[in-house]
Amino acid sequence: MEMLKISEKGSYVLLELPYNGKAMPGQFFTIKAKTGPYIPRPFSVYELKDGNLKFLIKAGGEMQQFLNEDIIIDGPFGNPISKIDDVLLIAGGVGYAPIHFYALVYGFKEMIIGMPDDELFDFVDIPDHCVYVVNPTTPVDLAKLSPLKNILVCGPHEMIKGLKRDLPESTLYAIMEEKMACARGMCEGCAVMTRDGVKFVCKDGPTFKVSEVDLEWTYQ
Amino acid sequence: MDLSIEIEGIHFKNPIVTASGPLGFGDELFKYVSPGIIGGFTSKTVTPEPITGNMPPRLVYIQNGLLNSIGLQNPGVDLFIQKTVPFLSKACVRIISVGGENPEDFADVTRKVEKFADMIEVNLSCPNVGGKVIVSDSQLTKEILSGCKAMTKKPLIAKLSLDLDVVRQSQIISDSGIKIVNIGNSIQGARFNFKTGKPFLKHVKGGLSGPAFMPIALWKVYQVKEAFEDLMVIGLGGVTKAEDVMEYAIAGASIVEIGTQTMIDPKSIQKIIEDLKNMLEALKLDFKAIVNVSHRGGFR
Ligand SMILES: Cc1cc2nc3c(=O)[nH]c(=O)nc-3n(C[C@H](O)[C@H](O)[C@H](O)COP(=O)(O)O)c2cc1C
Ligand code: FES
Repeated sequence: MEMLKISEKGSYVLLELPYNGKAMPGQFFTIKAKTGPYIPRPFSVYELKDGNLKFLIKAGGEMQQFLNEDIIIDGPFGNPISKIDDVLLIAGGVGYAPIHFYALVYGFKEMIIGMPDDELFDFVDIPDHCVYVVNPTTPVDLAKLSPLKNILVCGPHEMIKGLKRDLPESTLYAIMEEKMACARGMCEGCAVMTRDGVKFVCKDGPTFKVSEVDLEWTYQ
Repeated sequence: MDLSIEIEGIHFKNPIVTASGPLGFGDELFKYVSPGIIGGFTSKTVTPEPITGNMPPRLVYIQNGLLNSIGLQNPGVDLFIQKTVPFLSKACVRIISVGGENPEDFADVTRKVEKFADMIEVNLSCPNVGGKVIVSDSQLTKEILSGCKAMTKKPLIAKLSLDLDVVRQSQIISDSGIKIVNIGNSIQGARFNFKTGKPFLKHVKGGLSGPAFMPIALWKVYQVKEAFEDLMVIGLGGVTKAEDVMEYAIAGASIVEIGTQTMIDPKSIQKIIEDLKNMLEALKLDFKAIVNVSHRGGFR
């Protein structure tokens, strides 16, 4: 049923499944096969088009050995993101998945993508007018040059911390990707500290206004 | 066949009960599962004051299990009564789990929640709070249990630790006049990151749940039932299917709880109950008949 597309050196996988339901940017599904992993793993939607649902997965991880079996998905979970005006999208690594889906559905003004290697760039669909960077330049360095004040980011902890530190004037939203177990707000496993106390990525997020999040507690 | 069982005067329509913690306070769970189909629901442990819980990461994935370091996060007993209690369904047995640090804490929570519960579970064994596990201190354990007893006539359940001698713990429980033990809490474990040389969890250890430790829990259920025929045992740990429920019952459990499995797939609890019913039909035995059967020489 599902299809796997593998990147040139085998470091990344696009998993494509038929899916007749709905999903909105910001939402995620959990994925497992019949034989494992025991705890289904959460993945942001990379694309949903014409009844095909795609996920971007880093190879070599715990999911890899199960990807050749029949995949069982559950979801969508999490709150959809609404359209953000004049948005600067920033993605780091496979954090590009939900950013890609957002761009497909709502469009964007500017996009900066930081990736650990060329392999991922060559593998994913990237819209025309994007800027991309590879180490050691970071998306944070480039974001400082943008006039746009609304930012949506998904990427490593350090990237989100860097943006908060270096762009205090911007309105920053982050799609947070944390380890999950229930994906339904029951187990209290995916905690983030906010102005209003502990919240859960799966139920209250995954998108948070970064000014309201205590990144030191959450990402220490 | 009949799945029902009675414990200390409380009727369970079937022996399948949710474990304290992985399913929170039930509000999310009952969107997927009708309380009318399960034997009972156990709330997350409630303490006198709110607890923020541990800093992330709180979860480590392992093969066939999960290490958690939640740290007993809960809103505290007053908010629990305000926000959660009105929604606790009477369609199944309501078990409220109480926690704290000293006898006063436990007594305080028990006094406040007991009228909303059918049974009270005393959490003597959380692996994720600082200091020692309560049940390792027999004097403290006795004081906590007698304090809770003074606050309610509802049956008490003592939740034990699998990290310590369960027979010794059961002796303390039995001496305190408590008739039901839950065996037991998640077991302490750790994982280390070979890239950083550090433990994954800030407190190094977490609580292991899931099938990875089921044989340990089964053995402890058997041991306790062998030493204390009169104690009622709740078996808990790693159940993913009806066969596992059968094993716990055979080892000596009158009730079988399910935590992590229901959390990752809430609807699976319904299938487990249906499969259990079918297995008992095939054996032509009521559930009661298989409880403790390993101590009677097995099926004859
Ligand atoms: C996320 C999580 C939270 C838990 N919280 C509690 C708790 O608050 N009180 C308690 O007595 N046990 C708690 N436990 C332990 C479970 O009740 C149960 O003893 C353990 O998970 C083993 O059962 P299982 O393998 O079916 O999950 C928790 C377990 C998990 C995984
Ligand atoms: S994964 Fe359980 S609360 Fe978010």
